[in-house]
Amino acid sequence: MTRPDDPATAPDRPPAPAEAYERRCRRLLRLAYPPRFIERHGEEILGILLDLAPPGADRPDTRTVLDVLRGGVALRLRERPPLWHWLLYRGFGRRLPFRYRWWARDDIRGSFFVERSLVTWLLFVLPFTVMETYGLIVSGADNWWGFLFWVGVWYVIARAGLKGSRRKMLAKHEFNPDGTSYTPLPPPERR
Amino acid sequence: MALREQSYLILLALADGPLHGYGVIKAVRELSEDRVRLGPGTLYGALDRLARDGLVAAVKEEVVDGRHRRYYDLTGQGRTLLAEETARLARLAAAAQHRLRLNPGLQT
Repeated sequence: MTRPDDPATAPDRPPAPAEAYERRCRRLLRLAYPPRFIERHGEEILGILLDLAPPGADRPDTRTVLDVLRGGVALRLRERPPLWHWLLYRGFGRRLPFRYRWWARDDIRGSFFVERSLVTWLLFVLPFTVMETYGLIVSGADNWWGFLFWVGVWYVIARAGLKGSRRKMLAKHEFNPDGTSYTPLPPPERR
Repeated sequence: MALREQSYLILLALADGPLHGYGVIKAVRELSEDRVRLGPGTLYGALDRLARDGLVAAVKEEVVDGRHRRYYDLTGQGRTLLAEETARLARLAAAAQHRLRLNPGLQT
């Protein structure tokens, strides 16, 4: 992609920000915001960043960078389901409320879906293992290797069934297996 | 509904007609006498919140010189709220001046 940023050849236009600036802005946006946001609003925010560019700059200034990062964090927090819903969803596969279904879709289709569920489960289990180590509770299991073995078995089975789990979880949130949304049925005829 | 200063300034910036993101940033900066400088992340978050509350809406999109621009405008509800908030601030300023016993005719 070439840009006519040589004033001699484009005298009527203000010099466009350097390619390096635009590249860095795109990278910054991809870091800050989730992919679906970039698809929908990325070009618009990039346009604002380019408009804000001081002439001759080859990187956005620190203040702008921090602002974009903060905006990205704020957006991610806004779109996340609340803790209780999230725990039931991640731990037990319960369907999230309708307004978070797109977040669920991205999560299910995201990489390491199985691994993330596993980590959540381990976090559940971890307090109990810690309490047991300090003798606060007594459980029959005192065999670390046995525990790890069964975790491994679970993991292998979960990975084998990943495609099916994904399809089921997407269907729960009213998405087709390829990630497109169910189209709403037309309302029934009124008599 | 309590408006924060940032939101109020954005609504005020749009009172004259639709603006795109950079236009809003510039207008807010002028209105606040250079005190409030919005960045793109903050601006987008604020517009998103205002849109969700039904106070602003995206009205137009165009591509100029390879740059995407989306224009926002006040909704009727936004315009009403802006007028109410402005009246409230005017009453507050009048009460403040009275309290400070400043003669409204004097330049401070």
